[in-house]
Amino acid sequence: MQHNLLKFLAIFVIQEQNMLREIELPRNIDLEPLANPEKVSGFVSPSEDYKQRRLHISQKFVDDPVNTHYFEAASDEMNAYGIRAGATLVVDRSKPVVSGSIIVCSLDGEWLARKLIIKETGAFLTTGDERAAIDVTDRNIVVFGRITCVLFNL
Amino acid sequence: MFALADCNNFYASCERLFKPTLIGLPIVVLSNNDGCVIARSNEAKELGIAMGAPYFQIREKLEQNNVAVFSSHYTLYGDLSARVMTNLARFSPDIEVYSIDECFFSLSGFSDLKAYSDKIRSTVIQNTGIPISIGVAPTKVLAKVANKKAKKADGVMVLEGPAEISDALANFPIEDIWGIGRAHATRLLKLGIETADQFRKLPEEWVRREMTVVGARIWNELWGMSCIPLKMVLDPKKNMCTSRAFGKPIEEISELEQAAASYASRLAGKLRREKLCTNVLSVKLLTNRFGDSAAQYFPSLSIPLDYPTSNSVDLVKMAIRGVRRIYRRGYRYQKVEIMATQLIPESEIQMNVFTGHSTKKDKISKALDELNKYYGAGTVRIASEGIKQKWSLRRDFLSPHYTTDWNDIIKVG
Repeated sequence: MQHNLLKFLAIFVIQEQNMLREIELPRNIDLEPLANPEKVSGFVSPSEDYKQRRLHISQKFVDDPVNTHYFEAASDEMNAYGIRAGATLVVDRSKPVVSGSIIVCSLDGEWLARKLIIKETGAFLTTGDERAAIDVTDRNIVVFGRITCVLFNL
Repeated sequence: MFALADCNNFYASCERLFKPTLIGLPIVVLSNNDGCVIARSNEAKELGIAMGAPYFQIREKLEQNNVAVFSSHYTLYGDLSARVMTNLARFSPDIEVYSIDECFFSLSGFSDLKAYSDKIRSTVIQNTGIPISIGVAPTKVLAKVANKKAKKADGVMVLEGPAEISDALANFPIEDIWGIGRAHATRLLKLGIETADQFRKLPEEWVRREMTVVGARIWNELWGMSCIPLKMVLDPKKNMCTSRAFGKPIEEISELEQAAASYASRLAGKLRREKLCTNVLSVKLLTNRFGDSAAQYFPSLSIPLDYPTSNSVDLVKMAIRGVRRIYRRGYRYQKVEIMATQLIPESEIQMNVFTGHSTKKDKISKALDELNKYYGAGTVRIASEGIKQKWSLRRDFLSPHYTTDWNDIIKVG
């Protein structure tokens, strides 16, 4: 019983830790007992010349791992953009922030996920309803970067 | 042409990245064990807080001036440093990471160096959030000079023509020249040589005679003749050390053994990461030389190993044996130092057939490394390292592992 639980936890932790961090994942002996499953002892495998790298989620959602950071949504404020409490936010600092970008920023010391709107009259943050946007032009705001992807468990 | 990129007040900048409210406010970072100040933001420098000032002595001053205090967080600084260096490497094929916050790279073959350096600088700052300065010049020593000037200008300084270079050297203090040690600087100052320009106007023979070939190299570099190439292949390390002061002095041998075991185990992990094995393990105990009038004792012992190794089981066993041999009752120990010397690459090991070295222990070490990689450092340890590490490092002001632990990522509203 305990062994099974441990094994389950192991799989869970491994997925949690490596999902987005590394593209070349270290092999997990329990999940992948064979070091090289394509290797055959008899006839040469017909797929030998057609090998390609298996898809990994991070290839699709993390363009630039060196400049990517992760945050966690703590509220449903940004539900309009699919961000709900518990979601993991992927922030790529190398992507330019422009008006309309969904960003992570620090506003007077409070970390927020918001949509940034830049107009001639100043800079505004909104959670979806632009009429309720707040004016941050003269406030202490530091933009960390653009959210490029939102992930959550079903 | 050489460029030197240098992160401005690197440790303070790392802390600020995840605490933007500290922008413009004074920050200090303390050494391991929260002993003394090892890094200061500009604002803290302006308050007159000295480098190396012991924390307990300046605590009141820090509180009065609302200075933010951090324990050194090398996991965080190491990760952010790697991000900065990787971004820099995107701009030049030849790059030498010189330290955690400095990097030389070649800009030979690039045109309009000022514009290119401006672009490098703004891209790195945008992508990493860490402010940097770039100095560009025909030699490494001059690139260092240019970098210092860049910090006072707009972040980039290119010294190219002879006139620009002599202008820059005219008021550049002799003691700030890269490679001139304190002893030589003091001596030159006594002779009335106060600036880099005065130094390079000395006859080369004099410099070679009085300051050896090292001094002559600096002299030539100051004249724009490159003698110190980029070091892109690093020499293999000759020795490796883990040592740290304890949170509080230790008298009991059992706790010392635990500490030694823990450091030996960490050392073994370090060796394995670099694919090295050690031939000799040294153990040293130190009492507190500073501010402690109690009896002093600094015993050490070097233990030759039967075969070169990097496995935790052997090294921990030897470290404990060493501590037992040199320990004497009645002293208050402040520090234990475990050092591996005479290192050789794993691939060069010649097994002595008579020692019967078993590969079982190597397998254990490998499993240990993998488990700790998955579950986080220190999850699985050798029992002698202990569970409650009373002697462990004091890090009262440690910030979260923002970039290396999913539990520590910032929550946003």
